Amino acid sequence: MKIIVTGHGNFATGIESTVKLLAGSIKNVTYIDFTAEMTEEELATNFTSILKKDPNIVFFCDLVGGTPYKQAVLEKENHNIAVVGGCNIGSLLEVGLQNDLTSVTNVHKIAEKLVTATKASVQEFGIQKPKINEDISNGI
Amino acid sequence: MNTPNIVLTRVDNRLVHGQVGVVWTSSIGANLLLVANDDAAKSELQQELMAATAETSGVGIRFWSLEKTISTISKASPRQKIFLIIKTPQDALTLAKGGVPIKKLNVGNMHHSGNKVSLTKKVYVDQADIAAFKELVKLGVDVYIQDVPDEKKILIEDVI
Repeated sequence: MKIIVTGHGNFATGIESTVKLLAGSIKNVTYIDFTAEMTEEELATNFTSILKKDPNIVFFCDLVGGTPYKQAVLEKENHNIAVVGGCNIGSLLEVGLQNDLTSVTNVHKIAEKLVTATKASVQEFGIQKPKINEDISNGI
Repeated sequence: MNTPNIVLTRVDNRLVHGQVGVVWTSSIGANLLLVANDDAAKSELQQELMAATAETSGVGIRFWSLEKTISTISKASPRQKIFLIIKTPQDALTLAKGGVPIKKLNVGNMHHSGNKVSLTKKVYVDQADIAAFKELVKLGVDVYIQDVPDEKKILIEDVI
């Protein structure tokens, strides 16, 4: 399967530049911008051409309910896809690097992991003291 | 006493940051970050910052002095997949000489300072660094420069 990162403006290629700096690349992740001069049809065409090669896709969208999100949801009719909105870069790195996406087919499992990882990684510094527990009775 | 399951040791002058806490931790499947650094072992702010990264990645984290690392790491449980993070090649050498079983040493960020010269875009060294690397290699440690997981490894012997 693949993850398609998509969003308004240069959200997708912006995320791609962050991935590049931090990790080099993540296998099976594709980045599709929806820029001001593009129509919804053009975006859909980009999605369809990827779906032709790999029908199992998780769409990673900038905003719930935005055009890239809605356009992705429309593909649900004919393909085995999952669509998430509002997930963050940390979740993409974690899920993309911990799972061999090539062999995964359960798109909803991956979508769920992206949402869970995002929720676990949102915070204001210093509000919740992190746990640095040192219980060495069972290991270090 | 066990041989601790150290899955990777990395030299990084930023210790735990995004690249280390998220990217490397995820790709090697570690579940415990062990920061072996005398300053970090004393600094609450440094610990809080690095612990936040570890917590969002769902892994444990410890901040130990080099001395404590040498004396205590063998108490690790086999289920603990340790990612050992240190700041300098000199610290790596101290640990290795102290009996910490470092087999592979990933050299990440060693930024420019003073009159260090570049080995790669991210790795700058002076004579003391080179001497420490040479000694580590002599001890049988596989030392290589690799910034991010999908980048090719550069053996340290080939560049110093």
